[in-house]
Amino acid sequence: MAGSLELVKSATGTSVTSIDVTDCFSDKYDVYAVTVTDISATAGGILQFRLIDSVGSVISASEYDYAYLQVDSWRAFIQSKATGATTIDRLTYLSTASTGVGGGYHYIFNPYDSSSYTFTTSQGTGWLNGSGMIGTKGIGVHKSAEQITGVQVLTNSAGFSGTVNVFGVK
Amino acid sequence: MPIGQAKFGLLGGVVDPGKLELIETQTASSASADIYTVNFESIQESEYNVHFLTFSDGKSNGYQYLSLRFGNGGTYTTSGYQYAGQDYQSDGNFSEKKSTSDNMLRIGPYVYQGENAYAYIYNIGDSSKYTFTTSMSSCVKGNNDGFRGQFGSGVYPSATSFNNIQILRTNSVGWYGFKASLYGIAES
Repeated sequence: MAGSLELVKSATGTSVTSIDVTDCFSDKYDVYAVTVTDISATAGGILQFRLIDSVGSVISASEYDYAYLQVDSWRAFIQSKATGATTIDRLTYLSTASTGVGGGYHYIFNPYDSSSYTFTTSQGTGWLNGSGMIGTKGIGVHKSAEQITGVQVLTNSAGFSGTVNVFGVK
Repeated sequence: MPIGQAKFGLLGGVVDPGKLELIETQTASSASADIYTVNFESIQESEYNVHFLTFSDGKSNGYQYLSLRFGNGGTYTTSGYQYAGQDYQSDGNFSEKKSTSDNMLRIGPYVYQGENAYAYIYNIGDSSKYTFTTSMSSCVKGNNDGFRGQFGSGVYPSATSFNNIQILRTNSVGWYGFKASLYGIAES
């Protein structure tokens, strides 16, 4: 049915700094949605994207550009952007409070098309203990026309647990 | 397939994760009386961790902020909402809209008519988590007086479950037209 999401693949990690979903992109879809569910963390941090190339290697070279706006309920908003970065920042804030686990939908465009850059959009929300709500809205690009077969969700914190779900958008 | 049926398999897992399932649509066109609230009171909160709400073609004769409240049994919570949203306008003006304690959760900018928005709502039926939203809107600023939109996030920061969602106006002038739909997203 057009206009729906179809689960392609999920991967789960426990107390890890990254979760890879390999071989989840194909020529069946042009657009994918990514969610991270059942999140828990013992230290605050952020979640970011890296992409996985056609031989299954995580791309950690300085091939990403990103820009996002962090909208917080208690303080002035924060802009962040970079070119030649090693990750696409940012998916969402990683809350340490089990009550404060929010959500987000993150989209990846054209990953399997070897003639196109891979683009992303993200929106997420979470909770910072003692302060308030943190929201993010961002865009990113992998500036290399190559075939992407998977995605990595990583954190800058000590670790997190969760499940990364990749859906094809029909 | 009737909504809410055959979604869970014999082993309790979601059969069709990711599927967007319509729970309810409410519409009004050329309403004879102003409408101030749109209430969804059968939201299947125990079945869906994520709800997707759309509001389109809102028509009224007064500026207002499109907003949400959550409730139970027809009684809606009227305090304690937090939100943060970036407003943007076709005349080039951008502004921050935020609150740590409001009587409703804004998902739209200050507009007059032509209200269109969507919101994802997370954890609303989970009594162990806060209820969060992410949203985006695209609206008419005045009576054909340009464009104004907003994207943002919100939260009701109390570990409470709700079974009602209300879309409401912040102005005493009601809608005379709109279409609002609530969907559930089956997660893995």
